[in-house]
Amino acid sequence: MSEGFPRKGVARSVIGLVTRGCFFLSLWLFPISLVAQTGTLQEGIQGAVAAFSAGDYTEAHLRFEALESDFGREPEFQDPEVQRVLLPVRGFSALAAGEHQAALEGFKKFLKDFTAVDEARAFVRYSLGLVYLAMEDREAAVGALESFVEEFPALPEAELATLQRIRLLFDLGRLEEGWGLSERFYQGDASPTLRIQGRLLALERKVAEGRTDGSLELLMGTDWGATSMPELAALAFAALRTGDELMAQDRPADALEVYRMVPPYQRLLHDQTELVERARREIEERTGARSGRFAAVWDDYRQQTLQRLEGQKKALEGTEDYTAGFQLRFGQAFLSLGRFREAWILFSNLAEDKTVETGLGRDAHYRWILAAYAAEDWDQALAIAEAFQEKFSDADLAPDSLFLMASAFQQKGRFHRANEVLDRLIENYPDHRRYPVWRYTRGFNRSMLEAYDTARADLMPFLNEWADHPMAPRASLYHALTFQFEGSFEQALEAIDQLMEVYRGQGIYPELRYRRAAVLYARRQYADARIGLRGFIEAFPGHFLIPEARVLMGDILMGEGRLEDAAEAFARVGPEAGSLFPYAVFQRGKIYQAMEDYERMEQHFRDYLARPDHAPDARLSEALFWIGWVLERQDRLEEAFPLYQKALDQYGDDPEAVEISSVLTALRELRERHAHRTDLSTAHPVMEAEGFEAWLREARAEAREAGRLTFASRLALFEAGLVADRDRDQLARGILLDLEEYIPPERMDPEVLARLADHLSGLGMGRAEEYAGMVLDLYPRHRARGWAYLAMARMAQAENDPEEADRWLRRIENELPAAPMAIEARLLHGDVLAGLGDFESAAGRFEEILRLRKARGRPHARALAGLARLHQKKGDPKRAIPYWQRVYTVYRAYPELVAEAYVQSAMLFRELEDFEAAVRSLEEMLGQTRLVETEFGALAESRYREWVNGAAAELPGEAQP
Amino acid sequence: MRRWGWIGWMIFSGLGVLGAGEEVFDPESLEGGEVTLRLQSGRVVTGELIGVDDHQVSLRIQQDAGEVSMGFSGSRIDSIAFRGNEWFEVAETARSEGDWDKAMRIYDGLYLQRTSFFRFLPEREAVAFLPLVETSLQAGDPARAIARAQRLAGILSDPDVLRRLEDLELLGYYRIGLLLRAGVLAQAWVQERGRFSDSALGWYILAKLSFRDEDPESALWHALHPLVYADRSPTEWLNECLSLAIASAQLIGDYAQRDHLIGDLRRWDLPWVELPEIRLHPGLEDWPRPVSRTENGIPSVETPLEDLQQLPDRREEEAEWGDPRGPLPEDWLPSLLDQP
Repeated sequence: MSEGFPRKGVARSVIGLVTRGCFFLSLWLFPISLVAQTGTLQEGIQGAVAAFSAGDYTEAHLRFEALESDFGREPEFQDPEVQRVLLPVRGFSALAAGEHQAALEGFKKFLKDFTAVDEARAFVRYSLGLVYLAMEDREAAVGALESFVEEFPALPEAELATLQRIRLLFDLGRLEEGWGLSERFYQGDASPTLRIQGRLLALERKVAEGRTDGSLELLMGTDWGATSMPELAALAFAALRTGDELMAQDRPADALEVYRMVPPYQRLLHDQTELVERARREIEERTGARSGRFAAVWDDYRQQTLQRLEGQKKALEGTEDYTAGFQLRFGQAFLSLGRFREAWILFSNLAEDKTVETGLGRDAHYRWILAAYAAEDWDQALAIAEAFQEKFSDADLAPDSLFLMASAFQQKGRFHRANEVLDRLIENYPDHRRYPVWRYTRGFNRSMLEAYDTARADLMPFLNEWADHPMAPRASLYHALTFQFEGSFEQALEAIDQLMEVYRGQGIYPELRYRRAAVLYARRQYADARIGLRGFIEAFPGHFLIPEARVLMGDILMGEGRLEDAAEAFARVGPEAGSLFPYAVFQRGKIYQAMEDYERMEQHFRDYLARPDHAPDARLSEALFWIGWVLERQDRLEEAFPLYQKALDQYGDDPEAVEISSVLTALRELRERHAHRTDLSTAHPVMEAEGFEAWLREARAEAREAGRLTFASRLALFEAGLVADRDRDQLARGILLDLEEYIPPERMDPEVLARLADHLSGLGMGRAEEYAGMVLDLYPRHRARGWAYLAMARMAQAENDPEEADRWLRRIENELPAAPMAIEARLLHGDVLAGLGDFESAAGRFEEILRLRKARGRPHARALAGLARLHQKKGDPKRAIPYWQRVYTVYRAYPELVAEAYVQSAMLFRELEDFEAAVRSLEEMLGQTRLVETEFGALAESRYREWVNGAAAELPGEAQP
Repeated sequence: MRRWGWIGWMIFSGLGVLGAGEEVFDPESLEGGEVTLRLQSGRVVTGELIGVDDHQVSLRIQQDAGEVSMGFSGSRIDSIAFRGNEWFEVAETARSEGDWDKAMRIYDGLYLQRTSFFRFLPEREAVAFLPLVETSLQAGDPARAIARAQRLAGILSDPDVLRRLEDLELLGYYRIGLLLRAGVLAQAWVQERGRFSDSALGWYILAKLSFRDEDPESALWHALHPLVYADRSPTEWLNECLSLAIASAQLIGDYAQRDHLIGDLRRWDLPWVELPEIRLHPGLEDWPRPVSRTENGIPSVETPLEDLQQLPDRREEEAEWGDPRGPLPEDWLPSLLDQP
């Protein structure tokens, strides 16, 4: 940027300096009057001075020359004292008149003839440099100025001369010398302003030469004190260019430091204006204030500085405001360093600033999404990406922002939504350079949704068409893994073997070896799997899958009954393995349990508890539970009770603790097994209470009193579970709904929150969605999240949005197929799919229920009812009736269902005009009091009267009742 | 003759300064008494003050024929000379010596003496009481600071002075514990001052309020705003923001952010400010407190930053064998590193 500023020519500068020298010239000549006694010589000198003062330098020069021809032989003229004074003045007037050669000769003669180290010699030495500058002989000027500094290092003008030398060296292209001199000058004891100016010259040159490291070093290694830094604009632009260059070199940390030296445009302009004003004031105050031969030199220096500052200011005014563009790059530097908050602040402010140019605002908005993405704030990332789409749907960055949106959905586990966005991308931008990445991502999501066929359709092109794409190895691996996920192990093995051929010796090869072993394990080829794993572990000891391989090895050895070996394999999995570590710990516990080595089991879990480095998912309450289990086993009840109590005290109120229900189960079983004993020395409230549920209620009251509300909610949940087991669902629900009275949702156990959402959605209460949303936001991986999905599905169904309901229910099927809510979800899904007209899938869901042994009882009855309704919907009453009949013949324990089945059968018979069967069905139902008492009783009675009376009316002679 | 009287009075006032430092300031001594008005016409009038209202100053003037009451409308008054000007210097000395109580007492006495006349005086006469607001805060009397700041803000127009008064008022509300009001003012402050300001006060107050509310995440965001926009120009309250940001990052467990900020503190050579809320926070009893170079001359930031840097980078290890599920191309996430 600084090259853009106007620079005054060196020669012009010299002339300016010389012309301003007239004031001291007359002073200089004053001593001559003492020597030149003859009037004519004196008159000649006065005439020359008068001409010089009038700005007629040629005349002055001619008059000085004439003095020599007129008085050259006069002893007064030849007097060394006169010559000592006259020679410099003659030289100076020659210089001013543009007679450089004459000036040069005059100065040289002086230096030769008069060697006394005094002010006159200093001035001539300095002036010699000016002559060379005027002659544009920069090399000689550098030499002359160097000689001046060497001979008169203590003069303040030596600092000016050095600064001038630095500038000349750079002009001459003697860069290393220039930088060296600048460095020595900076480290020396010259005035701070001059030292900083020298430094700035060096910096500008480094920037111009593209010496980024050198620029960085100078920028960061200099104390650019605000008071001694007269050229703010030059520094700011040097920093800006260096920062940009560092960003281009992918050095964001360095760029960040340099960017911090760049002020916003308006401030820089303001400060530069102030600097110009300050420089002007300084000139007004100081010009002429200094006496002596060098006064003009300093005046000139200040004038030059002012001109430079004015030039910079003018150039700055003509420059577009760089602030927004600079801040975009500044934000990028933050983002590249993972400092997403700072990046977010910069990008969001730019994106929302209406004064910022549209293209720049769009770039900022896009990067704002990236910042939210880096912050892993998926909700915000989505919201910002959606806003981008609204504002800039036609922008080049629109596909990228859509992809970020899809990625955000993916990160939130909303694979369906992610794929909807990806579908849009894939359909609309088939030629985009990231098209393969989108296909890969959609394939990955589809595999997460267990839609393996379609997943493979997306991944397949990486095996041939895009085999050279950087994602091809990863995509091909996933392609093979989809076979494993769906249980097609033969095909998985075949695919992996093919890939091992293709990628032998490449980055993905070790993982392929591991995956092959895992597939063998899944095929129950344990010995082969073990050999494969051993080979993998030995060949690639540093691979990131080693902990997983060790765990699998442990599992295989366990399966083979080699328990000690298995324990050893698990023991080699350390805390660095993340969630695999607690898994391995508890597997070892299981091994000791199987070996009935209770002492080792106890010690093992005690050692685990004593570790100082537990992660949040450390399952500590579970470890306590198992120690308690050992203690109970060893009849050390006096130790077991306090241990369980400790687990409850320590972790009962911790929302992250996962095994509190196991501890409660253990206490319950302990009580059941040992309640009859009279020899127990230990007293525990569980044993002293009237019953276990009574203890639960007491403990809940205490927890509520003590403000341990999460624990209170857990105790209630446990009690509700016991009550529900006795088929008292209403009461169980009541226990949970009661919690709303005194526990704020954020203090509830995640499962309580999810179960409440489920119950409330069944009642059509809007709070269900709020609670479910909390579960999904705060505990997205919690096993109870299925209840939240179910609640969301119910609410969507109630709002006539079966597509949305379908999506939530599929999540349960995909993520939690065996969880307790899966049966309820399938039943609802059947209804939802029927509503969507997909009768086949709907029937499939109901039939799945009928195949499940654990769904016997009410769920089976409801599935039959579902199938019956399905046929009704299809307009096939003949096929519907048998399902209803099966309900009322087989599942008589569920009066509500049985009553409905009778009524529905009767209606269908009636529809088929089988009047007798219809009436008989109702008669049969109305003959059972408990069925009449259901909600269908009234309907059945009214229909019965209607039909029977209607039939009677049709008989001749019968009157209407 | 009157002109000589005026000059004589000025000389007398000047001489009074010499001995004032040794006297004990008595605000009552400034009450009532004589006031000298210099009128636009050049005339100087001295008399006993008997009243001031929105439009005029009324004096009881001794004349040859006896006493006479005269009112001088504001438009006629050029300047007013009060007794006690010498105390300004005493107050300033007390302020520079950190004797806030004394400085506040003197400034306030002078303020009360003159406040009714401000409307007839040039602005600089009121601007001279800016130190009163500052010393009131320093002396632990934020209520007085707020009251005086509001009054002065009502009569002054210089934007720089008004901004300074706003700052002092905001600080006053925070220090007096009216946090709701402080929060509202701080929000308005950040809206009004924009991104590039020579002060970070509004953000600082917002960060402090969040920190007090046990919301270190919000505190961090607030404190980061001025830090992001700071350049080499000095910014008031920036050091405090940086310290709050570091402590907040520590509290939320974002140690990478904390260490970045500590790095900034060291590189910029800024002092660590041990704010009371940091010192007293139960979650910050035992943590690697940063110590800036400025404080003790040696870089001694006690953080695990260096240790962390020694640890092998897991991603590097993975790179040896490819990413967990195969290598990701550089443009996996679009444009993350693209240059704008």
